[in-house]
Amino acid sequence: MTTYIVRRILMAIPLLFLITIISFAMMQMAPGDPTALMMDPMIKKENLEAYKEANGLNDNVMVQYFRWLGNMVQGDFGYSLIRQGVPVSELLLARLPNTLLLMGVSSVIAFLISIPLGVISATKRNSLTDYSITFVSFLGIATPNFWIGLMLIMFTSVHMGWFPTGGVSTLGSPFSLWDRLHHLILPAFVLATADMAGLTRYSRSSMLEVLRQDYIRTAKANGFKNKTVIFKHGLRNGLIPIITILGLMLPSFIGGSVIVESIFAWPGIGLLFIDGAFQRDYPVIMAVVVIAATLVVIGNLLADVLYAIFDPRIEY
Amino acid sequence: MSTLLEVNNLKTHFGNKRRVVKAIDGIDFKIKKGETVALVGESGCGKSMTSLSIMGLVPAPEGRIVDGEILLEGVDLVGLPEKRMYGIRGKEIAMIFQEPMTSLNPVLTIGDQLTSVIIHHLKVGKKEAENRAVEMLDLVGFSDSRKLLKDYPHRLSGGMRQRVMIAMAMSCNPKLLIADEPTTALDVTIQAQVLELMKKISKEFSTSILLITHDLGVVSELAERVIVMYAGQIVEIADIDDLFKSPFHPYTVGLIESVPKIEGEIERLYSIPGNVPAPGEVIQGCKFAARCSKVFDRCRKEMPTLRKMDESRSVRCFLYDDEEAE
Repeated sequence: MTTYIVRRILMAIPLLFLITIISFAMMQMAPGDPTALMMDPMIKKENLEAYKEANGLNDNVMVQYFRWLGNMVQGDFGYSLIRQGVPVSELLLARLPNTLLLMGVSSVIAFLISIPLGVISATKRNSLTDYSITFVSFLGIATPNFWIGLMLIMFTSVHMGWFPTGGVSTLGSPFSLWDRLHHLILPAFVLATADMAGLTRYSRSSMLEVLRQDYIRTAKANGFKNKTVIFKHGLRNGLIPIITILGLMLPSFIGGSVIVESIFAWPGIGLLFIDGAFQRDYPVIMAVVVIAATLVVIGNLLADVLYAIFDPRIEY
Repeated sequence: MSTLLEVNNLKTHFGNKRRVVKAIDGIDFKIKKGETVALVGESGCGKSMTSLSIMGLVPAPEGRIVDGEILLEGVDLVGLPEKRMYGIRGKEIAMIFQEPMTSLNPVLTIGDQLTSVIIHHLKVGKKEAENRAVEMLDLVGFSDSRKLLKDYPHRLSGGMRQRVMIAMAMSCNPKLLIADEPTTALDVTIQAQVLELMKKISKEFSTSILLITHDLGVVSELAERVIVMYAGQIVEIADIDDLFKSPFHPYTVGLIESVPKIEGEIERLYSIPGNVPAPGEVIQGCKFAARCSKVFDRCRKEMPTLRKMDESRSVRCFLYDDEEAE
């Protein structure tokens, strides 16, 4: 098991390396110049050149890349161009926990709602319940989650006043778990809706497949109760392909968090990314891209390891 | 010997109001205590559906038992509440299936699967269940049973898995063991092993066995009595020796003819001409008439009844009806 995990981690390294190259190249090719927003437009050409020269912007691309990579490996992501003098690593450290919390809670919500719904749908196939769940799922797939977010803010926050409209906590109040949760529920739910519908459909078809298997018939023939058959003998098998989805969900969660964080003013890396993109804050954008890509790689790694734990047929 | 299982006029149908498939169209038979009865017939004749009907596992809602009774020691299993069936399946009636490769749960250990059945039915503790599981695995011929408990099914071969299935089925001392094509998916040497094992078990535990197969070789090896089914009906019931010596029904004759013989050279393997009627096909008269070599006018108009010839023998054919009448 350990060797398997170590091997998978080692395999992830070239991938991460490739990701840094791509994200660096994309920024190099992007239109605009990092100096364009920083400088006074009236600046003299010589001074601009001098600045570029001093900051290494005129160096060979390869030199720039390796300098950036070398610093990054040591935890130095450079400085934000917009917030003068603030290290990007500081920004990331402040924001990342918020995003991880949001994604963690969202995935728990998505799993807790979708998997039972999928199982119910599969066991009561072609019933009214199944059709209703299917209908809502398709509605969910067809609805963009920024819209769901806006609607929820409008109804539950603005009209009903049940939830705050944004932020992680009430400004100026001391830390309280309830207050944090209260702020977390809406964005986490909205982020969860991005994958809930697909996940429900996926668990349904996975369970349908499993319930057709011979070992389910064996379990029934052994006199186990329906519930035992479905949850002990069925779900354990049905979850295996769903684990893969966990790995695939992460990218869409990161993409979704960019939108959800902007809607709910949630100070995570998604919001940082959007701000960075609008302000041409290159070091920030590149850092976030690399972090997001790393998260995806870690997510896939996690899915592979879980897969090996859940499915005894996989030999490490 | 007293009767263990009695099936009376059992009808299991599939489909909806518009199109009904009569998978089982009124069958009657008895299994005595300790007896091994074989149910033979071509694919699609309703053999497997008979076993699922007895187990109460006819896939709902498409299929349902529409008529008849299944008496296990006098208790009718048809319409018995599901809750009571939980206590019968695996305990009173156990079943082994055709596909040993897929009949065990891939994510649970052998020990987990065996002990959970034992705990469920015998209401014993985990330790005791484990001992019982080891005992059963020893019985079916494993040498390192205790180690096997921790293994997953994918590490076992087909024959080994079928033996595990037998151990599981026998673990709660069932009165009736239904074996649905238990050797079909195994290669020949393993087949013999498994048959030998089943023979030994039925003797040791005096368990009745309902053996479902299309393989007459397996039948001659194991069964005492044979029930021949065709298109959802029983066409002949006979003791094993009588059946092979003098089969009555033309279909039975055909089945026996179809077994390739080892002596002499044959140009062509014999097969019964034609096909099994398609499910749901409505046939007037005898269902076998279209394929029968001895067919005559009456067969196409009327349906023959299952006629008792003597104590142990019944046949559904006008050939024998006429002899009696004249």
